[in-house]
Amino acid sequence: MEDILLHLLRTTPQIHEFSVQFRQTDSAEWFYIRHKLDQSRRKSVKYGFVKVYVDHDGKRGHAEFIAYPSHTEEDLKTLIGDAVASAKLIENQAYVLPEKAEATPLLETVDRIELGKKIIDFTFAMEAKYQGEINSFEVFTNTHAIRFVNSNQTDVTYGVNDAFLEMIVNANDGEKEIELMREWRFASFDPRQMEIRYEEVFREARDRASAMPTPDLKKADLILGGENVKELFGIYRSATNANSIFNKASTFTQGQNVQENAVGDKVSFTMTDRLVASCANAPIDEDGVLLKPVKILDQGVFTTIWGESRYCQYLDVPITGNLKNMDVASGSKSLSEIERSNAIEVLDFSSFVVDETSGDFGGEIRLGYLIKDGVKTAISGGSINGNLLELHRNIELSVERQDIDRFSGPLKIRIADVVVSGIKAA
Amino acid sequence: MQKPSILILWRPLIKEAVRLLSDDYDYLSVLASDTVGKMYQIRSRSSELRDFMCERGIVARAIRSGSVVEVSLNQLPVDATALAAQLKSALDAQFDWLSENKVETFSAHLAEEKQTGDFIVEPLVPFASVSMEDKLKRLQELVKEVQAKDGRIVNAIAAMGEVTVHKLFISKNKDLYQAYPWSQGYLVGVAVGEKGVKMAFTSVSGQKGAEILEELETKVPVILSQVDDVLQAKPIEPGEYEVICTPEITGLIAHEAFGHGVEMDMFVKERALAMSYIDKPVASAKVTMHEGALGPKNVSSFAFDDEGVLAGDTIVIDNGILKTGIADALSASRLGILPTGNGKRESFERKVYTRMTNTYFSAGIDRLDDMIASIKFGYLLDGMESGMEDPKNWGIQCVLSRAYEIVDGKKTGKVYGPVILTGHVVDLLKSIDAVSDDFDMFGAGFCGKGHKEYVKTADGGTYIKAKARLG
Repeated sequence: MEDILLHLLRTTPQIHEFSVQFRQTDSAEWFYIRHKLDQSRRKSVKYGFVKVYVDHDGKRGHAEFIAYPSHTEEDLKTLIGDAVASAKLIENQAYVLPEKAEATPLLETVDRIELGKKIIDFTFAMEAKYQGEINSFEVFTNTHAIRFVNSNQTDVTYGVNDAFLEMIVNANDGEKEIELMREWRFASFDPRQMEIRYEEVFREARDRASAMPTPDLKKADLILGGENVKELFGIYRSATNANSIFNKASTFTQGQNVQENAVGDKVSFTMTDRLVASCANAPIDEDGVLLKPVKILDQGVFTTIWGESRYCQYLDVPITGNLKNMDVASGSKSLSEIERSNAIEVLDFSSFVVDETSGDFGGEIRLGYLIKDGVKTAISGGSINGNLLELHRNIELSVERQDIDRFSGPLKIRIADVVVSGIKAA
Repeated sequence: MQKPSILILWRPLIKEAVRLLSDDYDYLSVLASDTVGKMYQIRSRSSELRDFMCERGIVARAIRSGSVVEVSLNQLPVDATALAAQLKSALDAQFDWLSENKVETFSAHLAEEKQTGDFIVEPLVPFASVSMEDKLKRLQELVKEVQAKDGRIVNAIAAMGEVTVHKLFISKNKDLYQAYPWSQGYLVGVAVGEKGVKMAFTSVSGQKGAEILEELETKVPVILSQVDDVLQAKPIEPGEYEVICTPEITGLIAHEAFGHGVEMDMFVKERALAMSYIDKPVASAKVTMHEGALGPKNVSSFAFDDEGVLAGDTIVIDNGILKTGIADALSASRLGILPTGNGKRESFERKVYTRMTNTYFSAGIDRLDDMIASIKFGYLLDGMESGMEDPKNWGIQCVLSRAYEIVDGKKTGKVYGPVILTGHVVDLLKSIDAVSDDFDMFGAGFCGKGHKEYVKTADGGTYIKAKARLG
């Protein structure tokens, strides 16, 4: 498919530019219910994600389609013809693809089945060591071989490996059984880091089983950690993105101090091509832009707009490319300072909902802790909500850090004055 | 006419490969998918046209001595013998691995009746009968109209997604083929007010063709009104209130409360509290809830599911009493019951789980005006944003964009939002004291299992009056 498709794209005169990402994905998957295997799966699929660009009347249109291995040459000709016709109907501001990029191929291979077996054995070992109770878990190990080609002679091949683990943990306080769900995506299996996560989830499940109803505090300082920090900081990532700014989904302006009159930590972050635990490391983006780290927010000041080549060109700012990883600078507070009294810490939401456009966030509390007079008490039920862009005047970030998929940054943060809707009188 | 699918070519190839392998396994089936779709999206300042919800490939499932293994592929050889060899190699390698590693497996046995049939649904207005140019032009007109009517709107979006699903299911006893369309459209208004950027969203959807565009064109006043509402919405005072849910929110509650709660793969895992409440009251006697692809036609209406089980219509709650759950074939086998036609995959690349199709509360006899008039202080809830289930502990979380204040039986015009509705599912459903005679279905969203495995589902119902905790 690759050679025929590329030949057709290169020899279709109506096409002004094109790009293709060929992706071969091979996976091994296991689904366990307690200690028995529900089913085992394997996957081997290949796709060509094609973008065709056509200039017309001073405008540029583009259309996208997916090429399958089962497509014949005639099918591909038809698809390309349809894409050209479609692109001629789209009237966007003119832009061009990046010039030729050369990148060092990243091609690490892993034995997917061996890795999966290691994760399964480790999971059972951790359950026994920490006397946890796993209800069920799913393990996915994937390898992706990627080749990116565009009409400007960029031709880069690289590989990405990742694994995904979803786990349901039970705990019982003698009266009722509860569950917690955790999911982790990781680029490489680090038993030391994973053991910390297993120990935490077994402990937290036991805490949820004995949690008291969340008191109706009306307002409280909120402590968040782990993935929830990444999700919340997605608001900054989105608000500084060229697409959001061009399409008016963000009111941030370059040079603006977005945390005016801050009394807490000022946020600094970089968008980057690689992070230690990220499954989205890549030398180039989907248009062929060579990716490098770019500082976006510096002590609360918006320094650089980042994003896709097309939107950077529209805004007439330097092209950073579609970077996938966010690296947030540590804050000024130690964990013990973040976890001081008069706060609630939420570890587990039913679903943590973050509106990256408005800055609103919230969710129902499945497990949290009320921290009062130096004592942590497990709580469950009720909800919290707030708006980061209204509350980030007083936000504290931990010195201690975490490295997770697509994110490196503070392990925990504390936000003042978040609305708490509890279910029993405070 | 539907465009011919590659499944027509694949059908004899797959049938022969399954025949060649049928003695090697206790059970063998192949699901082949060929879904084609386009998304047309016009924004105030840019436009996109791309493939939407497309897939093309096969997944084979084999059972040997109770153990279940699957393989998903999209590079098929051209002859049946080679395909059979490719599948056998990938399937047997897994059975060998299980035995070499002494893996204890859950047992499954799938008994199938002989079934054959082709099920074709033609859209009222075929997608191809309206030119791409016309579709884009009509969406552009909508964007212009929305933006022209409210100066606070900085970006308007109009989009239409059109999908034609083709599926083929082959096993020793089954040879089933189906083709059907679904479509959806939405209008989005992004506006800037005193409190920053806010967004409003309205949608249309159904097992429909290009006629969906006409429906979308009626939604301009709706999006303008919603933009106005979200810009003036204030944070709500947290507390427990009398509420009326619009059919959209009722559908969300049905979906999160006793949709996910009765997915019987959760019964196999002992993750669902519902399994100990069968034939017990879980809701007000005014509540009857259905789940099934044979329900009102919408985006998840089909003839057979991804395990070749014919579609059903299950009464989950009958006048407040929990009657049964919904089940995929493997879960049904393990529970000793019949499957209900709810085995769905995100795509041929993914595993089957028990999934919802059309989930809804049946209409009642109450009138909306009377329901509003009966509230001393409360809210009319509208604008579904998201929801989350908790089948083990029966918690519920629904995020809504708008709560309209009601005082002394009348809407005051004050709007609050966004709002998080939380609580215990049974407390919420038992508090329902009125169910209206309206009915509507919504299918523009996607449903996940946990935080992945996204599939199309539809849900809906009537206006209901209940007590709920809002925050």
